[in-house]
Amino acid sequence: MNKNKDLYIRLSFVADILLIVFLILTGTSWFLSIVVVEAVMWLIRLYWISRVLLLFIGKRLLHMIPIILSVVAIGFFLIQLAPGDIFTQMTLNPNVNPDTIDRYRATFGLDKAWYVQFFRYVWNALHLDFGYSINYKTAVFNLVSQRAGNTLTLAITTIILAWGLSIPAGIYSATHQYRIGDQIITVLAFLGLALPSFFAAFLLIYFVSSTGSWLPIGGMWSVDVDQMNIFQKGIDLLRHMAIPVFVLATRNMASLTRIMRANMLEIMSQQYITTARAKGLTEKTVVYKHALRNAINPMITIFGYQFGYILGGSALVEAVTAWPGLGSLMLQGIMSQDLYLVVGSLVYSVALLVIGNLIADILLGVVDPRVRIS
Amino acid sequence: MIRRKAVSMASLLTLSVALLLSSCGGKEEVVIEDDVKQESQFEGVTEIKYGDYEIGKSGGQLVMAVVSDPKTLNDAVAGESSSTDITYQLYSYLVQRNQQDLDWAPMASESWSFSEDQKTITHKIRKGMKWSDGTDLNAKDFVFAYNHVILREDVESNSRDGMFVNDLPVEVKLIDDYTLSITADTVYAGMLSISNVHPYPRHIFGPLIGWTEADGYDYEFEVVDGEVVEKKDENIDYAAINSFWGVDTDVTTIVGNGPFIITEYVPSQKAVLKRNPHYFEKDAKGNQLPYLDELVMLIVADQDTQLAKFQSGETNFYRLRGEDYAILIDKKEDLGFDIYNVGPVTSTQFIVMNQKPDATDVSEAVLSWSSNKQFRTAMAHVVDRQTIINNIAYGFGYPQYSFVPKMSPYYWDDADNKAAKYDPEKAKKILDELGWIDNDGDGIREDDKGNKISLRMTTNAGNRVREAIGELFAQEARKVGVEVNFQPEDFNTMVGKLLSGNDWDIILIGLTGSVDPISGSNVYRSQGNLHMMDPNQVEPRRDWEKRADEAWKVANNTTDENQRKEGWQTLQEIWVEELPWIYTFNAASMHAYDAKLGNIQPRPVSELDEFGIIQYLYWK
Repeated sequence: MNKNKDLYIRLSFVADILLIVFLILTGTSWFLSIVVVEAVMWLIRLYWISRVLLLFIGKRLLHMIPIILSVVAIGFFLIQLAPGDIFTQMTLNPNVNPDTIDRYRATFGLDKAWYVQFFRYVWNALHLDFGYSINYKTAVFNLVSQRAGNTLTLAITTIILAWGLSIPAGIYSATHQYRIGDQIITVLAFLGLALPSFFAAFLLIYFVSSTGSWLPIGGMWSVDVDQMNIFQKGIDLLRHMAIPVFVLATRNMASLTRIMRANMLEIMSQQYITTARAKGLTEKTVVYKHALRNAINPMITIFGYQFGYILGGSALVEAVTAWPGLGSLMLQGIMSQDLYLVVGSLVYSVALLVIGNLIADILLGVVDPRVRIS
Repeated sequence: MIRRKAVSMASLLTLSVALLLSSCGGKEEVVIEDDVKQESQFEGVTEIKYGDYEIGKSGGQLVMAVVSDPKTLNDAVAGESSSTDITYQLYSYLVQRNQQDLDWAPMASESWSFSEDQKTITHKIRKGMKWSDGTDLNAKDFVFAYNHVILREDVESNSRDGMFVNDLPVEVKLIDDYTLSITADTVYAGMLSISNVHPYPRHIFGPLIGWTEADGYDYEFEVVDGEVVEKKDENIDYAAINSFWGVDTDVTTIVGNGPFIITEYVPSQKAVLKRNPHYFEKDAKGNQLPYLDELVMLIVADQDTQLAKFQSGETNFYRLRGEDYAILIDKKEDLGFDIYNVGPVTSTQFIVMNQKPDATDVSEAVLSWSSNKQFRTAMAHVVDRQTIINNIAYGFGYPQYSFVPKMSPYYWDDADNKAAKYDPEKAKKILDELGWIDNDGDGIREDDKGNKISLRMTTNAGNRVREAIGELFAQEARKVGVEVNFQPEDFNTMVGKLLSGNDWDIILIGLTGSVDPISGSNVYRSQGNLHMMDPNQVEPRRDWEKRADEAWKVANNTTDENQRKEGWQTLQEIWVEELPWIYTFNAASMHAYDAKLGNIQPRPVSELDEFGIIQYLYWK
């Protein structure tokens, strides 16, 4: 039985590659194809690896459904509360007949009660029709997927940077408590916590532009990006990402460093650490093998939430740095009361939040043997 | 240990005191400066010389910045300027106003004539025109545009309502391959406005909606219970037009007949347009237009960043805000550009008082004051236009007295003289004569029934200009003894109140305008839904409204220009005399162009400013 399992798993990787190539050939973006295929294939592989885990994931995904439904219902209800709707601006246009506006409202169902709109939406969503953006005149699903890739690029880079820097910083801070290194890191952390993200973005833009524009200000690509080869394109993207990623990462790093430091300090004062030292283990082993593994637990829970937050928190930074992402799309939708765009974005962010939490729980199970998925 | 505590306490204290002081901003008062320089407002700004276009040479690229991404690339459904900025370049219309005298000039239509009864206009289309993909273009594409795109109710077009006269759609007929006629239900002055339409490629839209030549070119409808009911063909899906040519389309498939075609669109980055090799227009010497090879529109959301890009030479064109003048005027020679005063914008900005007799949540007292012409006149004397222009528009504005734009041939020149000017003494006198004096010494007058004269005023929050005007008006009103409580509020809430006529006393609002005020049929007629002081009247309640409705008919139920001017003059006279609302000011539109560009003759009408001349711009 064991041998067969391993064989199946190894074979399935071939299926992976075939499916990805197939999807790309039919026109899906490479990013989306990889994500979808990998998600599906790993779920299949779990059947052989750990049925318990598969069941757990299945249950959590089922939980996602009532959560999303309630969020969407609340969304419809709240938008209804706001005075007017997306067509209110049009009513002041002397060239437009008020009857025409009534007709538009009827077409989009805006003249109906919020629960009627809600049921219509859910019914359509089951047919994978997530509505129509009145502003952009295209399907919400297309709009969101277009912009999501951009925001995810930003989000993933931010997470790598933030976590990659703050964990070591937190450890260093804890192990050299109250010494000059710790003081500097603490001050920087408090600064990062105090500055609002969009303000920091403005400050950075001002600083960069007044010292000679050594970084591009705003946007995702340079104007002449098509003339660049793949290597130059990569550099161009990194240069454009520098300001938004820096702003988003520093905000996160501040809180993460402080929390990591606090966790480490708490663990390091435990009895078993003293025992380990007394037994003659090197400081390095004590810190990295014993203390760290315990301190990292709460961080993993936080990691789960980050997925959802990066999306929302980046809206302001995206607006300031003109980054064409999902945050700015959502903001635009909310400001103009573009109903289906707002609800579509809500669905997307809730789904992301739930999946993020799911990943966090799984990781927790992996890292901490005491927590077993049951 | 104690020292450390002391230091931290001291720093905490200093920090909190600093925070406290900085938050004690309070409400800012609008300060009226005495030493304002008025005569040098437009110093260093070039006045535009309107005349024949110079013969230019072809070549070059014009780079400009726009504020946001287009929402669609389909002109049929484009609703706002971020989309029309781009789609406008792609088409050429039947007729268009020329920059020099703002008269209608032939474009795709070679010539036109009116029928005996003046109800029909017949256009002769130029021969030899082609679409940008090489397909022949003739009258059929124009008639298709009217009858199968614009008039269809399933297409989300903003132009549809403009095609209705007396609540009936105009009848557009195809006479032959190069002739079409448009017939209205009555004699209507706006026939040329209705002719301001561009064609749609029937060889692309036809297959999209399922239309073929066999389906014909007519728009059929019947009138049921006073409503126009369209006759629909089951096989044709007009709604498909709405999502066609959206922002994710391959831009090279977008076909037009205008000076440019889109070759590239990168979301949130730029749109690149290149010369359309099949554009029909030629200059006086027979050279192909446009002169420019390429038009690049950078999408830069932040206005300050746009200014920075213009100064660094990345863009060749910039629309100034009032505050930019001070920054740019000294750099003209160094950086090599000129600032042009394009003139007052065509939109209106006015203060209107609620006069709806059965308005809910409006006190009887307020209605009694607002319906009193003397009171409204007194309030008109309290509007300090010059201060508004100096303080809010940095000096770059013009006082506004009429809804007709100053450059329009229909402008009543005497409006500037006859309108009520800023004169607080006169205001006080009028209120004294009414017997409304301050009896209890609190600085606010009471009317003859003893009610304290106090009104609420609102405008949309977030609009800096309107908020400042409101504050100033409230201040000045107080000085003459009238209490105005100014409170800006959310746009949608305010619009809801405005259109229902309930729960508001005074509102400061603005509307878009155009060279021909015929577009205001919902505003100036008593039955209009935008006749804000008392909307949707079945019969005109007031004598002057009866006269105004008549004047409207005189101005618009004719094609005789002289009669039109008469009608508009009467309407403007009534507005100045009866003051249903009080106009404040127009901002001056100022553009900066690179000094090496030629043929710069823009007009401040949305489709005629920098874009109206774009095919003639050239690099010297």
